[in-house]
Amino acid sequence: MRRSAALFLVVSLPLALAAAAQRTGAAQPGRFRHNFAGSVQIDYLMVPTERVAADQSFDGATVELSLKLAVDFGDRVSANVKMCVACHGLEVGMAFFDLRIADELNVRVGRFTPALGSFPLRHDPANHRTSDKPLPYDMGRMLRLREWNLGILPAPWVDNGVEVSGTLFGDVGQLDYAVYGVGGPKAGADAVDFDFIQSRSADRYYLDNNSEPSVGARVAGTLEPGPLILSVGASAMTGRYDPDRRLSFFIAGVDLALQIGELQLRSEYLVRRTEMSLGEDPEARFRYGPGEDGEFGNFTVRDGFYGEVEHPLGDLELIGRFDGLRRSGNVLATSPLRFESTVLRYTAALAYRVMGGLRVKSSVELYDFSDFEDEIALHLGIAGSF
Amino acid sequence: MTTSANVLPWCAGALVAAILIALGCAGAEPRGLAPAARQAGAAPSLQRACELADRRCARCHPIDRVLTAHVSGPEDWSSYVRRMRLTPGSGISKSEEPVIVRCLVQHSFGDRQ
Repeated sequence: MRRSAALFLVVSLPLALAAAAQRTGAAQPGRFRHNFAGSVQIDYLMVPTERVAADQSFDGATVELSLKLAVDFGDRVSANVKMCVACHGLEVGMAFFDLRIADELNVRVGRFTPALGSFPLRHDPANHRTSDKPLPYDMGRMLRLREWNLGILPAPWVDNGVEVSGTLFGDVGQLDYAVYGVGGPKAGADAVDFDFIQSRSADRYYLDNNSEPSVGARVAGTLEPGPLILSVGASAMTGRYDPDRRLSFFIAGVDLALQIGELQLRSEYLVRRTEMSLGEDPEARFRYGPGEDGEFGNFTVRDGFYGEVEHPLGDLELIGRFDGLRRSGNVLATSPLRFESTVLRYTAALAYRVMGGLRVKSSVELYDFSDFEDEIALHLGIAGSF
Repeated sequence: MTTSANVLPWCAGALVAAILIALGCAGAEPRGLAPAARQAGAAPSLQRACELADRRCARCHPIDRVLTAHVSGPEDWSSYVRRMRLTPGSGISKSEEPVIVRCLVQHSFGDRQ
């Protein structure tokens, strides 16, 4: 069913795009409008509570760069291409066409970040105020990242596929929706969790690994009662991530954002259930034995949250964040985690606007691990948009 | 699980530094399109338009991204704001689009438009 729907979209969308472009008279080169933008963040991460922290995280200096070109082919069709360089190397972060049939119906086809949660909309380091991302969306800056295998789904999650979305405007607010089919996360045949390197490696030509799309949806409402702006959203994504199409996953999340004057409050909660391969000898493979029914559990559940508050004071912005992750389920015999593990993080951050879009970011983070000693992480960096 | 003794001085130092910096910045002039419009003595309707632009743009990114955007003519802002309006959760309604564009065009091009 999902495969035939995907096939239908792949065949029909280019035709629809071409027809819309034709109708809008977009084929006249003089009417194309280009926009070039980019951002850079250079951040230094120091872990003063460890003599050598390289085995815990990507400490030291890291650079995140993105360059984006947007082209409008008339009023209804546009294209976006974005190149990114970060810890995972050079990557195509965007390469898609948008067909805006109406405000209520937009079709996006290509390589993009599917709508899951609210933070990915602000994932660019020039847009969010802290040096790193909330733990559910972490992409390599959290301490103990290898033991945890990151959070729920790193942001930006970039994938190939089709997304249909739209916005319905009313008298009291707006309602946004999106449904999509993408290649989905990837891993090997005998996996116990996503393989994030394999999932976004350009060496694999960004191809799907199991001939079946993962599907997802998001709906969010925004209300503006008086001086407040309140947004509430819910998202979900499901599919299978192994090449044999046996291991399923399901991600769900809710998010809330409140703007009171210049004060911003944001929070999200995400949960992921991931099926894992038990292998031929689960007794030897896993640390914990079978349950009371004599069977080995074949899935893990991890959930995470963040709450953050930010307020500007002239050129300075004050940011406070509290986030965490929890994982429950069996672990490989070699893992230092337990059946149930948690990490909580407390962050105090400052961002100071130096000039134009240039901002110095600094933060102090206290990590409270259930399975390891607590740690402090210090960030000092500079981020700019151009 | 275990709080190392050397964690506490870092936390205390960070807290003191943050309080001192915040106190130093208290009362600082707010930044954005609306303060700039007020400073320039713009008409009240334009000031209100810029207050709306500040409010909407700051939901997803610092207002500096707007102030440093590459625009070569007023029509660029129309295209920009339309794209942003259709970004999920932007909160920009159809009727607000021309109001925000008016503020941005005035900010970028003044009376040259």
